[in-house]
Amino acid sequence: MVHMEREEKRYLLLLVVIAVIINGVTVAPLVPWQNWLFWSKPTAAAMFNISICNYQFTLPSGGIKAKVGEPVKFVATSCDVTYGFGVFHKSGRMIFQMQVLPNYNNEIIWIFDEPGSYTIRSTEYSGPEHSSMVLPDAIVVVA
Amino acid sequence: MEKAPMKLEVLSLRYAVVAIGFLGLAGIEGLFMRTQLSNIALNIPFVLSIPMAPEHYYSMLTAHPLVGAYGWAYLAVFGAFYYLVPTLLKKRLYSIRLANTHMWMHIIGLLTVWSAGYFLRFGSLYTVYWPLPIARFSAISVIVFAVGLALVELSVLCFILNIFATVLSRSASNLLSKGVALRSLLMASFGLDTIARYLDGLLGRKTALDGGAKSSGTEPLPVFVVAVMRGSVDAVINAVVIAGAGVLMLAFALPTLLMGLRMNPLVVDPLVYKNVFWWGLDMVADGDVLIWVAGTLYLLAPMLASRPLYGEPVVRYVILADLIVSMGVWSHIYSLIGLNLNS
Repeated sequence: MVHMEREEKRYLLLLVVIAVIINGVTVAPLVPWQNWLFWSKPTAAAMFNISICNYQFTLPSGGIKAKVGEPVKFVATSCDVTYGFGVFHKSGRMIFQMQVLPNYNNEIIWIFDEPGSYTIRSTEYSGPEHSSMVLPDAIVVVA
Repeated sequence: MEKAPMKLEVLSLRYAVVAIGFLGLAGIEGLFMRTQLSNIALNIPFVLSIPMAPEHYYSMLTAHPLVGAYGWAYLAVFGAFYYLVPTLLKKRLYSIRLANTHMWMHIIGLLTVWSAGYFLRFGSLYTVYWPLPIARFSAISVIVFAVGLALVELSVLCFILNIFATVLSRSASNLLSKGVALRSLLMASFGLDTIARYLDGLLGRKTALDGGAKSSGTEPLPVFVVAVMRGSVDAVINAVVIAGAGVLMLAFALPTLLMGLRMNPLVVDPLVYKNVFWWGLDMVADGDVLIWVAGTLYLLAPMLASRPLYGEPVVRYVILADLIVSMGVWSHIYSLIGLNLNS
């Protein structure tokens, strides 16, 4: 039979405490997207439908315009394979992304905190031509 | 005259040599893909073309992790465990013939997978999101890839059968009945034996782990063997799920190839498929890369340092906790994707 020393029990307890704290932090409202998803659940001021088919994005006819600090909802659909809907800052930094699965309305709510124009890219591999799926300045965010 | 059975050392080294061969292949693939960043322009018809066409690049990117994980890491681990497990437990390997046969099955399977990429341009990446294989690649490339993958996974199941059968086999030093040995082994694999003994001690009950005898009886299995068994649970899940994906691809690609019949791939829910597939895929990282490798270090560190493993009981609980967490990954992926939250 395995005997556990006092020091080993303390070590085990320490591991459990670390696991609980890290898991607690990851769902805490301190993390913005966890706040929106689990805690504050904001209502979107505008909704934009994006459809993707055979490597092509189709955006709303009026374009995508949002205001800083205002929640907006993106609903993306695919007619064939899984794509990604990624929004990128001018500097190349990714702001957010979600997968776009066929047969589903793939939804995400986002609050932009900086004005400017943003690029849409597919962030999921969808076949050999996926790297051409880039729409520069497709989203305009005003103050 | 009857041939003498192969020595474990020879079997183990044979696996090591093949594993290193696949490591070399994975390395060459890596170099080949990096030429995309160079100014080299080279074309040898039907053999080599630099820079690679996107179809070729992504097909190599698909074969590369499979060769690395299943060709190098798995075979290196198989070779080591085929020697270590019987030697540590002082038992004979259940079947040397099975070990030799599945090595060839593994080699043929992986080269088939590689050929589907290199020659037939199957390039769904290792993610294999449904219905990407069926929607974007030729039926023949899908079939060759799926058959190769099924052979590799069958080989993994043969290894686990061989190891389980070896550990469970009776010997002079293990006189427990088969049922008790299996129960004891599974309990130890999940780190539950210590908890069961603790609870039995609290309640003053006889413990089933000791075959009904309250004291002494079965010694807990070495942590190395516990890690091998725990990793094997993940490897089985991985093999069944990945082989299942291969069968699904065949179910759609064979009618296309043989009868020109194209079924709607979206009758299979892509989200359910993705979550099941990723759960199975993660088991490679969890079972092989994490638990099997950790188990090997749990064996080597005390041996080389000539002192007992520090926190051995904690290690057993951590192995159990890892199982729970790895199962949780699936539910995490499933619940937090955030699809259709309002519909």
